[in-house]
Amino acid sequence: MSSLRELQLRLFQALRDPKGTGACEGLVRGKGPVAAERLAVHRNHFLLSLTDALRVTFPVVLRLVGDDFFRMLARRFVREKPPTAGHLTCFGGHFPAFLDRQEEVAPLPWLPDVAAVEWLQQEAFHAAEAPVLDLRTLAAVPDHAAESLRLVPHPSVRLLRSAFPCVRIWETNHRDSEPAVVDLRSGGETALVWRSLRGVEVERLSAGTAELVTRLQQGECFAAACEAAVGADPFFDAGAALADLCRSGALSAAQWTGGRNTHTA
Amino acid sequence: MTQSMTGPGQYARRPIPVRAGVGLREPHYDHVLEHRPAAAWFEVHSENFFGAGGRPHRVLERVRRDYPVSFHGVGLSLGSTDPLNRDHLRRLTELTKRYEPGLVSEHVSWSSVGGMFSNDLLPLPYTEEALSHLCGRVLAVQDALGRPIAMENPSTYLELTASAVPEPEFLNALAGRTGCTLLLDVNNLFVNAVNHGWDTDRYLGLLDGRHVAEYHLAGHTRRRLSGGEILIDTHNAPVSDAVWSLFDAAVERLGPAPALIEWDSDLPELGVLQTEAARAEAVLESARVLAS
Repeated sequence: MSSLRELQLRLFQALRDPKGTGACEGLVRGKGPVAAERLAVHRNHFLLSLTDALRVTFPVVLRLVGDDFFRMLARRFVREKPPTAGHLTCFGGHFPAFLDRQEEVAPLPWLPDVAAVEWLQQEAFHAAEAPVLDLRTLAAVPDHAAESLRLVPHPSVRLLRSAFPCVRIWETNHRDSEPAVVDLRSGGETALVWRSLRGVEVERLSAGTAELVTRLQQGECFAAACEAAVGADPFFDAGAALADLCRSGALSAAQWTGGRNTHTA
Repeated sequence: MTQSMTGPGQYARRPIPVRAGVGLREPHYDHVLEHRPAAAWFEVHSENFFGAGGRPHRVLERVRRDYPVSFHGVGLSLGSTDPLNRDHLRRLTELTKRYEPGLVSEHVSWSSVGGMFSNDLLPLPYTEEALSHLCGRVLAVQDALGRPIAMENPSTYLELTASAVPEPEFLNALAGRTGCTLLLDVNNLFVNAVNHGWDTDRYLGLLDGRHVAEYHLAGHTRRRLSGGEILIDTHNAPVSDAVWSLFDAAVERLGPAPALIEWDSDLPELGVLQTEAARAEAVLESARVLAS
């Protein structure tokens, strides 16, 4: 192994290990303050800058568990799963699943899903630009298109199905200075997260609309997606759901075939 | 309705002028978009724009339209012995082609090994092995981007026993062999001089001014350790008097070049940065006057 590589492996090891400076024996010169303290400057920056990034990405989780508990979880996460990229766009994506594995989080079974709602907002924030499909354009789609019609969700659209009222929990702890108590027995929720012209938004979806959006994301044609939605909720109203989704800016395009052509609006 | 999308070749050519510029960070986005303040140029962190779309790009499109912009990378980890990060380089290449910045820079440093990233800039030993390795990476990046890059001297807290030559010699050789330019961070030089007992006069005397394409100016923090005091390159404070003096000396010896006020956290109002920039501007101006 090259000496440069060995140096890098040993230095990085010392960075991750809270007690480790032994790994750097002989590599590092000291002047004044001992080498261990100087290495600690890097270790502190590694931990602080990354835990800070987590605080910024998961402010509601932070509020729910408090500073000390969050710091402990965040530090453990950073040590266990340091970033795998030189940019932080994806950093924190594994945090919800990590929380799910922590013994200390077991008494808060809804917490990982609340973290997931926050993570999906991060994804929506950075998602690609795309046109927004409005109701007028949709209304102008010809009748013969109904069979082949596909609706393309905006690339920022994300769904989370939770066994807990995670949207309600997120909402009150995000918005209210005095968060409301949320009854866990009120059951599961599906969160719709997307980026509209107003910015990143979060909404609760009914079972039918959740099924509709899921199928649309999978590329199913609108007719089949509606059938599936009715299957999930016999009272599903396709027209109302469509109007809501259009108004929200959650749809990007309509596609259909006519003759030999594929049309997009 | 279509949200704005731009492609390559959409911007007027805006080289970075030999004037003082300001680092543009998220807390100032709204102010800059609303007020279009006087600034000779802005520098952003490339990685902040690695997402596919959304607000960061909308801001950058407007800023790039109205000002010269420089891209400063912090995460490419060029000194790492891991394979060159192709995904990161691809994103940087796309970003550079899309916005055509006046300057692209990175660090004489490494931040990753074994696929794990430290989010910190770690020191390279100044050896032939490290030089050769870094030169190879810089050449590959310049090839991919189709342009030279500027490489910044690091702030360091550890001196590595393996280092065989002084830092300015290493930097000269890096520039000489690859055609890259140098970004001299005067605050980093000052921090290292305190932390390792370097002679800044000697450093400036050794550094080849023909390679210097940009200066950085920033604040630092003092930290008391058991054996004494060190400085940490925190970028969260005004430029200190000692660093201003060092900048004077650097410009005198190495020549004027675009100078950036780099303030990354605990950000004050933009006006404070503009005041710092005005001071840097005065130093550049007097050097230009002397030279003419």
